[in-house]
Amino acid sequence: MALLSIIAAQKGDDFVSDKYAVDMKNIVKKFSGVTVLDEVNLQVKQGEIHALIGENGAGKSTLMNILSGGFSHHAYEGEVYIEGRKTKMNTPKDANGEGIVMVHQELALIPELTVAENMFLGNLPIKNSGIDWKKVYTESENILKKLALEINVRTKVKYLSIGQQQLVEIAKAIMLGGRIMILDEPTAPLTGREIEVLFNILRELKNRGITIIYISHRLEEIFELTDRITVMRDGKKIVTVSTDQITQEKLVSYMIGRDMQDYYPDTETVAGNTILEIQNYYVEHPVYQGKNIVDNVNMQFKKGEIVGISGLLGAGRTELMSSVAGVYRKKGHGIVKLDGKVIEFKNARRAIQNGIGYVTEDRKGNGLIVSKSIIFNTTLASLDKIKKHRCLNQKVEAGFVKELADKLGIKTTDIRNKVSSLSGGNQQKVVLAKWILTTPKILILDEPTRGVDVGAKYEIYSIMKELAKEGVSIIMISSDLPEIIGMSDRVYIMHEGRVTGQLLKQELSEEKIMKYATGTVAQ
Amino acid sequence: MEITNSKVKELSKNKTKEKAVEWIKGNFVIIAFICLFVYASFASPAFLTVNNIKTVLLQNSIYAICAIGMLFIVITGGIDLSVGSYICVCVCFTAGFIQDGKGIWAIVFVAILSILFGTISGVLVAYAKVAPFIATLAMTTILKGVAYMYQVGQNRRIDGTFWPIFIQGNVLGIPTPVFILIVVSAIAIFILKKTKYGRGIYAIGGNAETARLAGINVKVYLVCTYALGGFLFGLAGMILAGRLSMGTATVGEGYELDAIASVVVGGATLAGGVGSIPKTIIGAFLMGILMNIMNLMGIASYPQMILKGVIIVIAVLANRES
Ligand SMILES: Nc1ncnc2c1ncn2[C@@H]1O[C@H](COP(=O)(O)OP(=O)(O)OP(=O)(O)O)[C@@H](O)[C@H]1O
Ligand SMILES: [Mg+2]
Repeated sequence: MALLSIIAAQKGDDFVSDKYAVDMKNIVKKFSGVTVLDEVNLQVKQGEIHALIGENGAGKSTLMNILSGGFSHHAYEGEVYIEGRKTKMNTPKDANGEGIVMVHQELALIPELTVAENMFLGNLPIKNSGIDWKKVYTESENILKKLALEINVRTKVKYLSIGQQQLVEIAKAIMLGGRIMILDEPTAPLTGREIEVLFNILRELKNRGITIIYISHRLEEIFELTDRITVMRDGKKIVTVSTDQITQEKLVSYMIGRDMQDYYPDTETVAGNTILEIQNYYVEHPVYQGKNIVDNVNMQFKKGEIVGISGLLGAGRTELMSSVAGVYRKKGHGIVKLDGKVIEFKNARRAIQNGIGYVTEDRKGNGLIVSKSIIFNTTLASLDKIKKHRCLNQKVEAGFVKELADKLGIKTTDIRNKVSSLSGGNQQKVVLAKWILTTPKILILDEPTRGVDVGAKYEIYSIMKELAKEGVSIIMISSDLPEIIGMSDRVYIMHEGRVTGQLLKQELSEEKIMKYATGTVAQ
Repeated sequence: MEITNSKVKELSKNKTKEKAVEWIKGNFVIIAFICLFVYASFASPAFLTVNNIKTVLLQNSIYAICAIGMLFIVITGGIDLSVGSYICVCVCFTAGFIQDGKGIWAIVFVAILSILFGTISGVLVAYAKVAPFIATLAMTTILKGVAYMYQVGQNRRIDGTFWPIFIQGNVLGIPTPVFILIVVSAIAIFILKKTKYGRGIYAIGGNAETARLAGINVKVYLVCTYALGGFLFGLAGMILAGRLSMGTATVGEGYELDAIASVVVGGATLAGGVGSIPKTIIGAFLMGILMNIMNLMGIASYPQMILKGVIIVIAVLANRES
C-alpha cells in the first residue's frame, strides 16, 4: 500500500489511479445447481468509491461474499486479483489478511456483549498475557467519537437500535483498517444525519487512498458519493459506468431491464373515520431510569390513511409503536383507543386478534425464522386461516402463500425453500407477506422497504396503497425521507421522544421534516 | 450447437448430483437403517427370525416412546435430562398403586403425576427462565429421590394382575407396547403436522422472539411441551412396569441419553426448530438393532458402548448443514 501511494504520488496522480484494487474475472457461483453469478467481471480502481447496484437477488452480496472470503475459492469458479496479485481466499480471515474488510448486509453483532467487546471480537489486544481491556475501551470510544456516535461502549448491544448497531458494525470495519472496504447496504437503517457523518468518513477514507465498494438501493446516495457504478441483473454484470456520465433513469433501466416511469403509485385513497388514538403516551427508557424514551405523545390514525412517522435515530418512533402494539419490553403508560374504545394490548396475540399487524425493523432478529421455509414464515401469524376441518391444511396453506408470493414478486424457485436462501430484499417481502396475510385493520410498518430494490419498492408501495384503499390504516415509520414524502398522507415528526411536528401531504418537504426532526422548531 | 447441448447435459447432471447429495443428507438415518438391517440379516442367521424381530420391537418400543417425548422438547430448543428418573418413579408408582388395589386408577394416577412433573419442569423453563438443562437436571434427582422414598427398598411384584397381562399380551395381534408406540406416533405426527401447537413449537425452536411477535403463546406452549414429554416418559415407565411385572427403583439408568441419541440420529438438532417423528423412531430402532446384532454376534458390552458413541457422532456430522 505504502509503495502504491508513493508510485501514485510520483506520477502526480491523485489516488484514483488506473491500477485495479480488485479485479474479479469470470466468477461463476451456484447454489444447489442454480446459477446465481454468471461469468461476472468486476474491476474496481485503486482509491475509488465504486457502487454496486441491482435488484434484489441480483447477486451483489454473493459477489462481495466471494471477495471477502465468505466462500472458499473451491466453492466458485473464476479468479480474484487483489492489487494485481492472484489470490485464493478460504476464509474472511484470509481476506482480512489481504486488506479486505466487509460490513455485511445482515447485522452480526452478539447481543449479550458490550459494544466495545463486539468491536474487538476476534482481535482482543493482549498485554502481559491478559486482555488489555483499557485499550479495548479507549480505542472503541475513540472510533465512535470520530463517527460522532453517542453510544456508551459499555452498553450491551441488545439495547441498541438497529441503526446504532449498523453504525457499530461500520466502526468495527473502520477500526480493522483494511485497504479495501466493502459496505453492503450500510445506510438501510440510518437517517439523514448519520448518513452525512458516514459519507464524510467514507470520503476521508477515500482521500487516504482506501478503495470502497458500496452497495445501496438508494440511488440518490449513489450519485452523491460514488465515482463509478457497476450494475448487476440476474447474476450478470450489465455495465460499469462513471457516475457523472449517467442519469438516474438510465441507471434504473439497466437495473430492472425496462424503463420506470414513477417511483410512487398515484392511487387515490380517502381517509375515513379515526380508528386508533394515542393520548398522553409515555414509555420509560429501557436503560436510563427516570427518563422517558417516549414522552407525552398524542397521535390519531384514520382508516384508509397512510401516516408516516419520521425522525432521527433514537427519536422513539419504534419504541412508541411497538409499545402500543404490545410487543415492547417496557410497558407504555397512557390511553390507547381503538374504534373509540380504550384498549390495552398486553401482547402480540391480543394485538393481532384486534387487527393490528406490526412489521418490525429487525427482520433477522424477530421478523423471520430464517432456518424455516417461506411457507412456514408467511403463515406463522395466521395459522387459523389455513385450517380445514379444524386442522392445518398444507394445500390451503400453499395456495395462500403462492398467491401472496406472486403478488409481492418474491423471487424464489420454490416456496418451500428456506428463507435464508433468499436475498435481503426478498426476505423483507416475506415479512410483509406474513402480516398482509393476517388481514390487519391497522398495519404498522417499521422501515418497510429496508434493503428493497426500486422495482420491488414500487410493488410494496402499491400494496400499501391498495390496503389503504380497502380501508386499512397504514402507519409507516421510515428513515427514508423521499419515501415518507412520496407515500404519506400525513406525517408526524418525532424528536427525542416527543412529537415536534405534523405535516399534511401538501406541506411536505425534506427541509421542513428535518427542521422538526432535529428539534430546531416545534409546533 | 453440440457444445451447448453437452454443457446443458453437464449442468443438469451436476444438478441431479447435488440434489442426490442433499437427499442423502436429509434421509441419512433411513439409508443407514436399511444398510444396517441388510447387513444384520447376513451377519447373523438369528437376526431375521420372527422371534428376534419381535424382541427388538418390544424392547425398543419403550425407547422410541421416550424419544418421541424428547423430540417435542428438543424441537423447542430445550432438553430433558430426567427421562430415566421419570421411568424409575413411574415404574414404582405403577406397581405400588396396583398392589394397593387401585386397579385401573393406578394407571390414571401415574399419568396425571407424570404430566404434573413435566409441568413443573415446563414452568421452571418458561416462567422462571431456568435453563432446560438445569431445570431438568434438578428434576432428575428429585424424582429419583421420590422413587426411593416411595419404594423403601422393597420390590413390589404385580405378577398376574391386569396390567402385566395387558402389556405382555397383544392388541389386534400386535404386542401391546408396539401397539401403543404406533398409536403414540400417529398422534404425535398429527400434532406436529396438523395443529397450531405443533407449528408453534417449531417456531419457538427456530426463533422464539419471532414466534412471540407472531402471536404464539410461547410460555404456555413450552409448559405444554414439557408436560407432554413428561406424560410420554411416564407412559414408558408404565409399560416397563408391566413388562417387568414389578416395581423397582433400580431401573431407568441412561434412558435420557438413548432418547437424545435417537432424536439426534433422527436428524433433529439440539438448537431446536427441526425434527421429525418417523426419523426419530427409525433412529431409535437403528440404535436398537445395532445393539441387537452386536449381542447376536457375541460382541461384549463395552465395545458396544464405544460403537454407540461413534454412531452418534457420525449422525451429527452427517446431519450438519454445510
Ligand atoms: N445460501 C444460499 N442458498 C441458496 N441460494 C442463495 C443463497 N444465498 C443467496 N442465494 C440466492 O442467490 C441470489 C443472489 O443473492 P444475493 O444475496 O447475492 O442478492 P443481492 O443482490 O445481494 O440482493 P439484495 O439486494 O436483496 O440484498 C438470490 O437469488 C438468492 O436467492
Ligand atoms: Mg444483498
